[in-house]
Amino acid sequence: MKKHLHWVVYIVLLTPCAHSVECSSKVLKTQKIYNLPGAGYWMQAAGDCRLTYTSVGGVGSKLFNMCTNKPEQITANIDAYPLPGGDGEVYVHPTDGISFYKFKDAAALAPENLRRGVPIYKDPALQGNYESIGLLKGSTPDHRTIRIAMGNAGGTFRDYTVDKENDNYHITPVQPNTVRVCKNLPSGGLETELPILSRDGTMIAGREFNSRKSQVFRLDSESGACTPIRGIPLSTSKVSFTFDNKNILYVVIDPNTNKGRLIAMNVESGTTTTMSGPDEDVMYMTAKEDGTILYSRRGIDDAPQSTTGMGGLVSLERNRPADQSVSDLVELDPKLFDTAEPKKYEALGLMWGDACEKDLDLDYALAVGQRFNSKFCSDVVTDKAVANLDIDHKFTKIDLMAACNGNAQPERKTRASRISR
Amino acid sequence: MRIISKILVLFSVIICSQNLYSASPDYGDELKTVVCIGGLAQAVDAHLKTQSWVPEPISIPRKPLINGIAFRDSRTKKYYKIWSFKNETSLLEGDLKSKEEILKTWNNLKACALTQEKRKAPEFPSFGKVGFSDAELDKTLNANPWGVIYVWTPYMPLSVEGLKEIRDAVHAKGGNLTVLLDPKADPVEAKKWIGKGATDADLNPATSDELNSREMGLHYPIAFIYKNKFLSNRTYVGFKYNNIYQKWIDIESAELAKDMK
Repeated sequence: MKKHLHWVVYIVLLTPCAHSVECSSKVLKTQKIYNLPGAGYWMQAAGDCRLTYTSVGGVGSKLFNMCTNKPEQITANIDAYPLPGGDGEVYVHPTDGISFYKFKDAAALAPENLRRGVPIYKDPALQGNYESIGLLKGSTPDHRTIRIAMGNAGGTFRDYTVDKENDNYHITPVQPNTVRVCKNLPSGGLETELPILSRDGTMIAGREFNSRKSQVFRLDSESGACTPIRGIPLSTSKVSFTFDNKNILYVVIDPNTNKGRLIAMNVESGTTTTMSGPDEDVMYMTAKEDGTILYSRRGIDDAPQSTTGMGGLVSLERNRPADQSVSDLVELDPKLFDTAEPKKYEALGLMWGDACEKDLDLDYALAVGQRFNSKFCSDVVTDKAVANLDIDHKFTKIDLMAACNGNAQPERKTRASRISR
Repeated sequence: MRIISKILVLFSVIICSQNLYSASPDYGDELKTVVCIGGLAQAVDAHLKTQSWVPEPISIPRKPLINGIAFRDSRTKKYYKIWSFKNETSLLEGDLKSKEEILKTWNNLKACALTQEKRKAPEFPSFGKVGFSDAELDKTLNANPWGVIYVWTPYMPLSVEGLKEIRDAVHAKGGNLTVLLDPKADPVEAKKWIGKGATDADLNPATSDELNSREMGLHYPIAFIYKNKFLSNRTYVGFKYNNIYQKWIDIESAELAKDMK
């Protein structure tokens, strides 16, 4: 018996060492993960709480309330897209041209009638799909001017005034006809796949057929002419602009892992930042008006699993005081994505990669380091790991621990976080 | 008469300006500014320089994510990647049969001297053997003079709606159509679209490495075209109507005829 006991003691002593480094994506500090029912493609935020998306089960659109953590009812046509600004009460489907609906009306429908919702307005002239919407300058919550761009046949757009009076919305097209997008380009238009408008309607991003790359253009409001601003050097998924219009978000496929990697690119500088972790398989992403970035993942082991094997909806919120106004939010969270000391955070990510036998590139290392959960710092920032860092990442253990511990999860007391807890 | 001819010329100019599918710049445009272009130009086989190279992210340990270009040959099972970073330009030549790679690098700080490293090719993340594998792909490429492979997902309704469009387009052009399912999709969810645009025959998951290495997971639907056993490196992403798919088939078929001569 004694002979076996020392083995038991030995195994017990060794076990904590074998599991001392958390190697899953749990090491990423993630403010919130929602168990979104189904997949999260074509996600679009409406106000603070609602998220429309296309999904599963043989229907076109779904609606999820992030404040209550519950799905809500929406008309079942394809690719719902909420109007920006205002009260977040109106959305469109690219059906019968473009059709406008109210969330309130959809909520009142009998479940068997979700494909028969009655639009409050429709414009058969704006044909196509993959619609995107910008809120034009001068809009107020009750008197908005919006621009809707559609994919297909070179791309078109049309502006509309949306005036709210009590509970009614009066929607009127601005131009007499739809406007062709980018017809000044050598290819004759944006037959580009996936044209997406910026949030202010002044830019459009499209994937160009010849080069297989996306490009961001300045869009002339009158003629629809396009002036190239910034090329995206890779094949991307559909892009999504942040609401400050300074960054675009997109997914590329990492050929080493075959997983989707979420990237933010600054439109002005072209600087790219990886925002997802190396174990995450990102499907799609969008932004909220308050600066929050949302992205959906394919199934991974440590995420709340829906019945469809999805890896949850990740919400990267800004660390901001609750009373800071939305208009002040002009950058992505500087703590998370624009640190002044990238090498220090790269070092954190590299040490974690080494401990977990993951050969990280520096973009992934930075993404991991910046979002490193502080409760795992002492597991990774060891004397041995610090000594093994290369010359570009030589920092003291004290410095690295300080950077790591600075990643403590901030307390936020927004309405959304209170309800979801 | 002169007025009519002027109108005809003007009309033809307008029509031509609507041609959205001019030849791809590919290889040459991407490499205009790289260092040590001379060494690279000598190392790349002449016939590869006219092929359709596609953009690809290059992830190397302890280096930033690099924007490179790649080309894969479904007939020889060889693949090539080119990227440039700071003072170096690299060419990676891989062989799926021997599972070996040769990395050639030219360093601008060393008078563009060439260094070579032979190494084992990394395993491509696999989706398993069930479904439409590389072996199935080879059979399809060998059995048909040309065809289209269309991949859909239950998570994007337009990829279901596109099934009718691509069926009509390929049928009209007389090619072979292979419909496959997103290999990461839940088959239970996929079955819910049966009778709503999809059929039982459309549930075969696309597990082929050749397809997946062409950025298949970027977006759905995604369409691939092949001719003379050669699978194009260029894909067509997003929902299209029948007439647009037909135009794409015409242009890509012409491009493929030039490939691998």
